[in-house]
Amino acid sequence: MKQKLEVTDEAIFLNRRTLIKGLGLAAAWPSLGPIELLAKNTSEELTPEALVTSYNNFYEFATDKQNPKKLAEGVSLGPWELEVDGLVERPFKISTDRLVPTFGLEQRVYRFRCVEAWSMVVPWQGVPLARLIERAKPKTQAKYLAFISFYDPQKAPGFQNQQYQWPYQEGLRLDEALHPLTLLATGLYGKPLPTQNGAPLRLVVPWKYGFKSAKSLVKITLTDQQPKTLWNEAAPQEYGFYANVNPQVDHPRWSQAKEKRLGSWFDKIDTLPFNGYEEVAYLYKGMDLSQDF
Amino acid sequence: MKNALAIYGLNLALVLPFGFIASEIALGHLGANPVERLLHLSGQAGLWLIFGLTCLPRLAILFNWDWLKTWSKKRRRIGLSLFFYACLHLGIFFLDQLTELEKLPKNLVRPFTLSGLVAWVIFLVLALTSSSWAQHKLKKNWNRLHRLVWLALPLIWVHLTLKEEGDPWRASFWLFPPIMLWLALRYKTRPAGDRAVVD
Repeated sequence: MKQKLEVTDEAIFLNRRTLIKGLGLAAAWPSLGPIELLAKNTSEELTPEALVTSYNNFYEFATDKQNPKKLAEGVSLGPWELEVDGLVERPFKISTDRLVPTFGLEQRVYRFRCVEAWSMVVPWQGVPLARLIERAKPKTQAKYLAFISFYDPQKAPGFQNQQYQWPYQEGLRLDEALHPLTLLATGLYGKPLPTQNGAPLRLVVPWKYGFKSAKSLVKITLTDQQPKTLWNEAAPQEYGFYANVNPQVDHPRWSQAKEKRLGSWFDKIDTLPFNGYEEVAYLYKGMDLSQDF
Repeated sequence: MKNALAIYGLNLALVLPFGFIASEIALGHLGANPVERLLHLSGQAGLWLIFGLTCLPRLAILFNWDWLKTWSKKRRRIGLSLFFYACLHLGIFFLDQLTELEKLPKNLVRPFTLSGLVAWVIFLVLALTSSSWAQHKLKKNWNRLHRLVWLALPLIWVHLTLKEEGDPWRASFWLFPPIMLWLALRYKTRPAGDRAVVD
């Protein structure tokens, strides 16, 4: 039998109307909130919110995973103007708190696999990135998107770390960015994103290692050249541009065959190609993913 | 009496990390990735101990404080405690590997794992030869053998540099002070005329 995965079914890609319906259901069945209702329709257990928000790789704050939450306490990021520019017919700016009213809210439960071989299952809220790209009308030369994160040394101590080229920068190919799975998340567990999870908005690309899902975005630029990315610049032999989840290609320093779900002690589960989102495989047809890792 | 107090203090310092680890387990404070946290805590304890072990004799010469001299004389129990935390660290690692045994041969020879493992073997040899009896038997060779602890320092530096968020500069924090102290006092005890030869 084909394993039931991913995301939620089509039906649970809630728009605001169905979210309200969900709330109604929740009221009739008090033990289930809308998030739990959503989770009931996925095959996997959600990672508890307390773990999702207390174990974070956010080098702008700290290089370990416990300290970003502590250092982010009392620090609010955003709202700010998100800029979409570059090779587009209609560049625009939009306040991050206008994104959901403008483009419509979606709920997605995604597996999230960090390159460090841990993973979680997160209920995100946000808007599909494709809607913003369509609004900007890419020119025909546009092939890639560069994502730029915030830069504010007043707010986060990690910018002192000279080893990395700040601000954080990531990139996607245009077809990857347009894929319906690609989300600009504004919240998790029904609440606005906590600072340590990338407030006020972040990218979520569930079939790629977590570092591709850049946090606290201020700018998206469409280009005709493959953008530089922070981790690729820092260690090109370890972090490629594509960074698709791939159990066959080990990280030079550790195995990628298995992963540990947050909260578990010794249990490990098999890592799946494309993190189980095999519907994206066609994007990489003809490519050698051990070379383009 | 002052001496006894210094020894109490040392014993407390040696068991404190274990007490902390036990309380974190008991209170359920290990967080989202409990095994990783245990590895960090036991590794951190070991780091402080090897740091102390390599700095103490020279610090005692430098400052000539009684409690430092007492601690420096008790290096055997510091070394054995270090070995205990290293075993805890390695034991947790092996427990964690049980869920992917088929990968173990490959994982063991990764420079990250190997550097830690070789450091552990050094600690094992030093722990096994730490008794007064062994010291007596090995005579001059005992000193030579126990200088191996200095080889563990660069191995640990490699180990720290290669972990997930590894950072050569942060790893060097553990390396520079003992080496600087060693170099400083090496020169200090020599007559001025000797230095040029060493350079």
